[in-house]
Amino acid sequence: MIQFLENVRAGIVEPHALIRAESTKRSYNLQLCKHRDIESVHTAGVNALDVDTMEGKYLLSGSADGSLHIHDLQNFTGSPHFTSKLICKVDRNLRTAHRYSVECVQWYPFDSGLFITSGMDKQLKIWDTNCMKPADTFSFEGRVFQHHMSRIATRNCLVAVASSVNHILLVDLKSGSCTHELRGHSSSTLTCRWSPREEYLLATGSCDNKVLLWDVRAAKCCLKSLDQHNGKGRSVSEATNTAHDGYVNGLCFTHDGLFLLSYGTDHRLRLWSTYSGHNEMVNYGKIPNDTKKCMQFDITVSSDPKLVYVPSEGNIFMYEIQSGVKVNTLLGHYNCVNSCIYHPFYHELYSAGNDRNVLIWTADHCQGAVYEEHLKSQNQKKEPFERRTLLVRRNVMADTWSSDEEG
Amino acid sequence: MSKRPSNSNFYGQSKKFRSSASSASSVQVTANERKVDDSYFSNTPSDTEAALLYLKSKFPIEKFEGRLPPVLLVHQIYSVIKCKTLVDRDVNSLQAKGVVRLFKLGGEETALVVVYSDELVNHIIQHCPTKPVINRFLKELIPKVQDVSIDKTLLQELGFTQQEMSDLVRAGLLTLRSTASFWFSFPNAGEFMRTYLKGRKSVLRTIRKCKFSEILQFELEQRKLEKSAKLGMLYHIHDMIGAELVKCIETTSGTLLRLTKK
Repeated sequence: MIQFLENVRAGIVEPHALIRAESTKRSYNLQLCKHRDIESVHTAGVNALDVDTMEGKYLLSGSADGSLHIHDLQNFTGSPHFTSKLICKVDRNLRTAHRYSVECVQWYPFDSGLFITSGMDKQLKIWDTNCMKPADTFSFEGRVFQHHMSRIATRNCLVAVASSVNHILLVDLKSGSCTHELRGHSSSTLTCRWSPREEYLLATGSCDNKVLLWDVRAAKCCLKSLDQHNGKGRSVSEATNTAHDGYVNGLCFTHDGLFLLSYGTDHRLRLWSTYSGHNEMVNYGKIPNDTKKCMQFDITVSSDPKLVYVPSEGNIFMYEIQSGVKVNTLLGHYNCVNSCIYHPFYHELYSAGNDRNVLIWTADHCQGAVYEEHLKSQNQKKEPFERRTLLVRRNVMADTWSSDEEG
Repeated sequence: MSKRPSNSNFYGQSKKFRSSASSASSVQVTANERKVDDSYFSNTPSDTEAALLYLKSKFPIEKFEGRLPPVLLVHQIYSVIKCKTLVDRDVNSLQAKGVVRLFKLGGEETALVVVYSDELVNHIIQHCPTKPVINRFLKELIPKVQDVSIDKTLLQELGFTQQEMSDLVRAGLLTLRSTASFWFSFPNAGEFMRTYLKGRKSVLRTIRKCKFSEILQFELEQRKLEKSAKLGMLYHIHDMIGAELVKCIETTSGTLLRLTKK
């Protein structure tokens, strides 16, 4: 790496290559973090996670009993051994909390003053972070599986809602009502994602095995239905084209918006090109996936062979996106993993599961090793010095100039 | 237990081995020389082709007494070559070139079967009655249509009548898929599927009976299969590893095969 830094200094290699090389190295070397964890305050399985995009400081999590928790991720204690403390929470017994489980949470993309949650009680709530009270509530006819708000939208404030009714609802935060219904699916929609490149492009997946791409400005139906066979290999009698042979559980765009990954209950992950709708035919193998609800998975940022972290039952698998090679399996949860989210600044992965844990996977191992050595040396030095330091302290606390006789 | 790539590779420090092929092709002298280079290097089989040849040698032709050509499964190649996408692409290019033919047999999953084209043609000539329709099928359909299935309308366009289509079905070259389409097939495909499924079940049963549902690979190879499973232990081991029914774990005493749950 020193040679690399020298090359950057000399101008042989451009600085962005260093960012790329280091993020790639860190995303490959993820392991369960030994010294940092998140304070375990969850009272039920954790369903959804989100990290705020502006500072990367707050981790929002939603549980299966309707409670919400916010933890502070930044470490100012000066020691590598750190527990991320809970800052505030919404208890399930609050009158304004969700009555059933929270399925999806998302910070407002532009600041952390607002967050949006939705759940099985058919409601979408918009919370004010400072008061921890909902500023607005939308009620729907179907149970909400996922909602998403675009990170780059500047001209609209639309939240796409995927629920158990057959159409996608677009809720406008400025006007406070549902503005659009996108009809195209023939069964309940499980997942929806806005594109990070185009602010009007929406991808949705549903129980009818299809993934549809929408331009929300168009008055007519969807732009395209993604076809897993790319138009071949189908007989004439099968008129519909499907993206998967099972429910489409999860969708994720790559950060440049050029590719879309879809995860289905046919135990397959598929890579699609966003602009042509082509199945890139990358074979990831069989990834067991039997949950009928939305799974959140994430892709690394700014690394060269991009990696995807996919939760599957109790494991998290790491695959290279373009070649489909399995890099690693992250084992740590005791029960099913519900969602994985990648922190873009620290290159860490946070995963949440039904075992009420939120685990941190990090690449900072040398820091941990140095800390362990430091702890060992501390234990050795403690014995002879201990008594002296205590005595010194007692002397400092003692009061030598006031006398009891006065007053 | 994680296999992490070496750290030096991220900064571009590890030197990649440059084979003589790339350095030779970079020297552009005359067109003739380039042609010679191409033909010289195209004869060496790609990784997938080498894997296919190796797997073909594992197929016990003598046990079937000439009733079947060497039939392989696509997922057996995954057990030899790690990168599945590369294998898929190579197999598709081989199919497009006409070297190999793919068939979809069986109902469950995508059990794609691979047969080399020239062996397939020999097999068909050997086993089908010598009717003119069969010759037409061989000469026209096989080179033209590389797909696993075909629509009735396309057959009619190519000049096959209803009677000829039923002749082909009776000969075992086409199988009914739905009211208007057919799957491609080859004679005695049913016998292959029967032996294959029986053999797979018996090997899986053997592993399941072991303690912890795991067994070392060389120990499994020493166990005898029942007589009905004619395809051989090694064929089934490759098939199971590629279909991800067992997980391969490297231990100090060799490769351990452990059944994946479900």
